[in-house]
Amino acid sequence: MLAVTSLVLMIRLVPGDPATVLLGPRATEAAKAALRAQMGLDQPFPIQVVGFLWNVLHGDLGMDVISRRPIADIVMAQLPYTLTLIGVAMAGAALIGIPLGCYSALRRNSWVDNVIGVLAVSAIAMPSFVIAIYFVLIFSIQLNLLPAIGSGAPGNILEQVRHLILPALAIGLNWVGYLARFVRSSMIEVLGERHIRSARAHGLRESRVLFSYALPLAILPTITVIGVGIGSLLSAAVLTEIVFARPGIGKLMFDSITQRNYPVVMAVVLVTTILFIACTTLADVINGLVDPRVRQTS
Amino acid sequence: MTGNAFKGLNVRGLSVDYQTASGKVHALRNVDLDVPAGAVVGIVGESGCGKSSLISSIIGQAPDNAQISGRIDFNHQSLLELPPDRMRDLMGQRISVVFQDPMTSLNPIRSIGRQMIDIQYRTGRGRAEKREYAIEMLKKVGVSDPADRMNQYAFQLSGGMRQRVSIAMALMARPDLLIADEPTTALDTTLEVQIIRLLKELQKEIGCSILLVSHHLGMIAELCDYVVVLYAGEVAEAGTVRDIFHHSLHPYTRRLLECDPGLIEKVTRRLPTIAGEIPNLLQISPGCIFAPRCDCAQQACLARRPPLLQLGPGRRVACHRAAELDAA
Amino acid sequence: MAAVVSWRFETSRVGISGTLGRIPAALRLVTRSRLGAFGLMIVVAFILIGIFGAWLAPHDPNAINVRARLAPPSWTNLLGTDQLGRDILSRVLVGTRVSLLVALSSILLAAALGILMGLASGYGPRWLDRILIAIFDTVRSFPTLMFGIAVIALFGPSIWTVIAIIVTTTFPIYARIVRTQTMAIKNTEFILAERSIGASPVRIAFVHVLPNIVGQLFILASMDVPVVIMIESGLSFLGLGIRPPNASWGTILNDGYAFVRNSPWPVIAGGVPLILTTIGFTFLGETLRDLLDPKLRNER
Repeated sequence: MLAVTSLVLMIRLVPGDPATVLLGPRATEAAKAALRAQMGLDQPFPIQVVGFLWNVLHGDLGMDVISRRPIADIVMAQLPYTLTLIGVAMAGAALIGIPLGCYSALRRNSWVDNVIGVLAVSAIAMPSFVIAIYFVLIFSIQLNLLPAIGSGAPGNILEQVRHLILPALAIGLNWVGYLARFVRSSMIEVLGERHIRSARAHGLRESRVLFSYALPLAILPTITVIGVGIGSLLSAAVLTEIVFARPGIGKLMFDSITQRNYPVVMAVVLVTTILFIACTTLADVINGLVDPRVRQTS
Repeated sequence: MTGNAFKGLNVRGLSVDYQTASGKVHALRNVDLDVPAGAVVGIVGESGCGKSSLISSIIGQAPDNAQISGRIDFNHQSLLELPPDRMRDLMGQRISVVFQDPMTSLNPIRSIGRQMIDIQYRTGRGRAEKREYAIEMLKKVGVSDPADRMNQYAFQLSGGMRQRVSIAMALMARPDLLIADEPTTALDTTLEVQIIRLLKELQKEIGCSILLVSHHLGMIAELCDYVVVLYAGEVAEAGTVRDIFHHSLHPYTRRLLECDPGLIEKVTRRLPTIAGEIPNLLQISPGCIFAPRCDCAQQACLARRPPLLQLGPGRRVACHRAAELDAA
Repeated sequence: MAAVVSWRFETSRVGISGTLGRIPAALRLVTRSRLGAFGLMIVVAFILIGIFGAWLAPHDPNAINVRARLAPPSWTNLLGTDQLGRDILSRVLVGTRVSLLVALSSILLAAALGILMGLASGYGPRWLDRILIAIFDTVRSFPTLMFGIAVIALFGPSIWTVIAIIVTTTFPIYARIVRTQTMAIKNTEFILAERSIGASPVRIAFVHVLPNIVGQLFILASMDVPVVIMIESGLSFLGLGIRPPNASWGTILNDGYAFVRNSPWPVIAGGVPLILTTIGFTFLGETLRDLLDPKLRNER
């Protein structure tokens, strides 16, 4: 909540006159005045803020001055692309990273563990947009295997998937590394705990001990980590959408900036913040459902 | 009943070393121990005496840097040479363990019921039967509302209740040997009394042997038939509970008895302690391991290792001066 | 009186000179691990090139030579030329300096701000702490780039805006550990005693709090550099950071990407130093962290 309000307030405090920014320095005074009235900028500041928040709660993010469509529609049209990208990227990262982390934990200090460790750290370190560019270079241009631009014709699932592979991989790579390391250390910690010793002393099969007793405990914290991680994925998504010329709110934001269409920029930031808060809250909720210890206290 | 076959646990010459960055820690040295069928044997000692090494070696959960030598025979079968899957067959069926701290011994996010049903996976019972059996067991150990408890989690139970659940889980398979590692240390004294009583009843009913590790001498006195006193990785003295408590020969045992608050008769403000600390197990001195802290130590004690004097069946003492001190 | 004298000479574990004295030993330990040595090597190279790069550049990084545009590597242009015929190697070298400058200033400022906030939070009244923590958590979990882009949209692109963005989004990590350490020793005996003789919070901060966490601050900084470089080059790539024609790894990548189908070299030249530097700092940070983390983990 704090984040939303502060961001909104900050954006409203734009230096200079938005009307001039939008219409350009050559606009007539009358046109600027009209725009200001239309945007509600001629009213006292507190009323502006309240008005804006009120509108937001009603799903009204204002009208786009340039295309004359409700901004909310514009943003919502682009949102699904970004969501798909982030969703697939994170899901892929989890599907690859978590098993790698477990395997590392079980073969602790073996050469496999060390190799995975180095790869994981490297994967975390590499900036995703550079990875994206290199993917394009290697897979699209040199090898001509996968498409570099756009998201594929709507309705054609196969095409859409082909267009998703490289971008999702580019963003997801960081997280494969991060999750692998995180799960590894979480698993090692859990395996050292007393109740695992107990479980073994009861003669339970090792597979049981690992998968039903240790793994669930080790993975619990990853839920929160992933929820928060969505935030960083959003940033990476912006750059990746631009590299791959994919539709999405990242590209929308960037295009709006170049066009100096700042209400749209503001709307995108707002939506992003809400999305981010929703994800972290969702992560908490899932945690509450899955972890009996949390369930009880709530 | 455990039936006909169980021939006891026999430990001979067990030595456990740990390879660490600072050198080799000689945690256990040449330990002999017998747990006959149906008997309760207590291991007494301060922390650091090697109790945990002993137990982890028996149950096959010694850490990776442990080097174990000697023999551990269960039912005349060597445990140390057993492959892991055979060991797993024994654990939870013929050998069970109750650990010290029930909070950390039960899986925090799995319900009690699931855990109790899980460990019955080899019994061939149907699912409903397993549940019934678990509830029966909970009833037997005195857990109230057993059916409800099955759906609860460890953190929802009190400490005493958790330990009862642990005992229930350990005895569900009617093992030949129950190893109890400080089962009441994490509980307060009123609970301790109840747990002692519980163990006594169950032992009588099931007829299993118990290897009980504790530093609560009162508990040892109440439950055990035989006692082994461990000091810094060696057996200081062993015998029947009567021998140890009423005719102890080793100076360490005597000091232990003197210092135990439960056995002190006079009301006093100052509790006696044994001066000094447990020796460094990286470098074992050539003499008696207890000599530095012993108030009747002599030259011979510091120079040579005392032999383990066999004073009768099951009666052993490792002290140069045992005979003369006994006469005194 | 004797009690007062004795604690004066204990500066809660490690004093400033103690910290400085540990550095050679630390370096030796770092180089023992292959990853650490590699990381250290890259970090040192980065710093050296950053400082001296501009002099080492064979050509003027902004000199346009349209006839030789998009040329592959040759003896005159070791990394080839970009779409305006500028020598890429020179641009990369100068870009290193930009990255170094941005990284250094942002981290120093962020650390300074973080230390201040952390001290205020740990030392000051409860309500202040609560407010500051709320701020730390909010800021820290923000999608940085999105925020950065929005800010630049408002205030216009410039290197200082970029630095400001980075500082505001990264200071919480420093603030957190300073706060933890401050709170940990706030109520210990030496501090209470020091305060009773009127030692100022500043002295307490410098003599007691900071020396103990210098190691952790270094690790944080080392792990932070890749993030900082990423933000700066990401923004420059979008044209929102360093403005062309200035060379920065991000702008080189941007130019290169526009012409990636014509020649892969600009993109390779711009991206490889980025990747190497981020990996290098990360390896170094990881090695340092493993060293500082009590060796419990490795023993068992």
